[in-house]
Amino acid sequence: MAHPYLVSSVSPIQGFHPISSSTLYFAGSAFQSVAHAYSACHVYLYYRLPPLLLIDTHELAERRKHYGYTYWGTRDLEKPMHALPPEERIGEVLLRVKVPEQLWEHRIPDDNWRWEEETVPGQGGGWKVDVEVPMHLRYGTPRSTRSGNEEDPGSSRDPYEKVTVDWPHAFLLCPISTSLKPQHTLPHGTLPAHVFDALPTGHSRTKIIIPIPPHSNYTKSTPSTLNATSPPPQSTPLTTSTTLLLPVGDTSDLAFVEPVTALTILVCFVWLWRVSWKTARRLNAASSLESKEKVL
Amino acid sequence: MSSSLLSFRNVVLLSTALRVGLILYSEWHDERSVVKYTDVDYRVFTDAAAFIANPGPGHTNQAKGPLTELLGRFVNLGDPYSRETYRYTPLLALLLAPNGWLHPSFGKYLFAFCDIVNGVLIYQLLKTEILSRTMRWNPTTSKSRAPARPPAEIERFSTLYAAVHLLNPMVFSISTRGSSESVLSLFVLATLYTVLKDQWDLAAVLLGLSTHWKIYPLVYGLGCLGVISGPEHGNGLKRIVNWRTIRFGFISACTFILLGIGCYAIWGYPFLYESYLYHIHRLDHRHNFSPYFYQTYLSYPEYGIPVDTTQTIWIKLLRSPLTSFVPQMGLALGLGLLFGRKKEDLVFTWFVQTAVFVVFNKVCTSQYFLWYLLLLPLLIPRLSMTKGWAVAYGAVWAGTQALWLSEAYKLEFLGQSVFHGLWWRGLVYVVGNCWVIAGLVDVYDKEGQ
Repeated sequence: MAHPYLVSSVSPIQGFHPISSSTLYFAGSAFQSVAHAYSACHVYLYYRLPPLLLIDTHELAERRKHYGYTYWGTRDLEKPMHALPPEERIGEVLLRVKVPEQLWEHRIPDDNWRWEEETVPGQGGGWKVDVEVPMHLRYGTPRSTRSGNEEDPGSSRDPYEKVTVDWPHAFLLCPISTSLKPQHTLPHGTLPAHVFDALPTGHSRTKIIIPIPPHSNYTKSTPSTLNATSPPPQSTPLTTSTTLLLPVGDTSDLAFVEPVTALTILVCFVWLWRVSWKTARRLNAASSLESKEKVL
Repeated sequence: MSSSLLSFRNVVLLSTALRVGLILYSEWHDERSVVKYTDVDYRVFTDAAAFIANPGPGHTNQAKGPLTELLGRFVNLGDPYSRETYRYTPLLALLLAPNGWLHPSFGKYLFAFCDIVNGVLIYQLLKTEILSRTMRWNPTTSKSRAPARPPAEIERFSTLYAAVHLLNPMVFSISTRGSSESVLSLFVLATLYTVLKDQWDLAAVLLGLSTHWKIYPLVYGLGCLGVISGPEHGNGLKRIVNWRTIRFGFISACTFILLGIGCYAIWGYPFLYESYLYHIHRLDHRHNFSPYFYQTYLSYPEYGIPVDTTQTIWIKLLRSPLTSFVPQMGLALGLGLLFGRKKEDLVFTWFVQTAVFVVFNKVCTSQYFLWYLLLLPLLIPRLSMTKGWAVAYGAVWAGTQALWLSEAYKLEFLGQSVFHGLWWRGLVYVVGNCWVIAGLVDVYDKEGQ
């Protein structure tokens, strides 16, 4: 029997508003025999966000038809990353997706669940569910792109910062009496203690966690170096992370930007005062002569 | 086209139908699309209203004012500032309370209604005050006063200029998307209406209310001082400080303070901080029309790193808040004193005060343009320029925005490193808008060319 698996991606890789799109496949002709067992479970996805990435929980709330959520992290959506305290830079989200009972009756419960005739070759059809999480990038720490020192890892001439976003960890939380058998275990430390505590039964023994691993085509190997001007080579192994490119400001611009902005504002200020003064004199002269005409 | 089709009644009906249609469309669109028609701000207002109406659980989301602590169960209100990024008066959240129990689009209908009322006020002001006045005597041409316009002409132009507001795509799209600017616009126009009708005490109350809602209408008070005094106080200090101006200032200040005390009594320090104090120290580092965004981003203080005290005097001067504040307020307040001498110049005075306030501000988004566009239909009759120049000013005003927006799109949605180019376009936006303002100031109340 083919077991559930996960495929995930974040796109676009450039732009301040990427979307994490995950698809969970419940594949295999044998699925139908255990679909009823799945319907007693909940699907969870746990996201651990890198410092530059943030989630607006109000956007998650708008998707309550599809999933519930628990969020840990700062609620300050506005500051650039380097202005946040280090302990507030990491955000975590736990999404909960109900596996609907209608699945084993071949009834489609909502738009996010779809039946496919043959999701895995030779294994028959299966269900898949899409989970989308809108994300946003903070402004990154500006750097000087004109004085990069090849030997100093802290400096760089690259006007982009790379942000690596790992796939979420997906798992089923099922009653202990379930007929489903976990084929994998979650790696140690995948779920922090506070995330365990947020699960319906926490550390009790009435539930069992069944990991939903990434598809076997994907590995945890390090992705090849990516830059904004060239796509990755075709031979790069598929990985369970996506690298986003975030443009950052150039601190060497500051020496120019500040005085030119101030000078422009000053010139405009003087210009408008001169024009206004001239108009005020014209208006006052007309008023004075009008008053004299009235007196006469 | 017959005059019956161009009647103000038909303009109002068309404007109302347009707004209702767009609000209904917004509900249909938002149900089906990930990219929403509704503005993010509307969700913020709605959430804040829900927080007020549903205090708790426990000690969370409770109004934190001294009155609430004193009266306990008799005043059981939530805290609108539980909603992140809600930085407005709590009265706005209270206004939108029906979003929770009546209909989620109630607020949009309210904002659209305010739009319509604003259009009616503009029409009435044009008809009874602005178009019905004769032109100023021109010393250059020695022409005596032009005769008053015939009533039919007044009616036609009042309708036309009011339609400039009511059928302005920027106006109706902003209100139907759920932005609350039309509420403040109503307070500002009502203030102007009462001023032009010589109802000074009521005007003072409305100015206090407007300033409570957002701080910038404060500058209009200075523009009123010379008008309040009348010609008998001359042009010296007595024009600004006399019993009439003191009375006006006192009533206005009392209104502002009483509203502030009331809100503080219920919601406490969060109200004070989010509505007013936050705006004093805010650092808007993300891209917006103002060129200041880039230097704010590049010099944004890093957490835990103290400010460099070895900066040169030159750097300290460039980074001082006064470097931006002095030109902005110097113009906004100074032009109020310079032009605010006669009632017939008040619309012009408020327009230029608002326009310079927006252009010289350290942050600027499209919604800010509404603050002065609101007054444009009232100003048009007093601008003496050819159609060619009017088109040129409009083209530069719109063109500088389009230039900036095209680059901002590359940054925001394509993730290209265009900070430097965006900053240059911010400068072009400032210079272009100053050119337009200077042009309008120059042609104000000149004889037609």
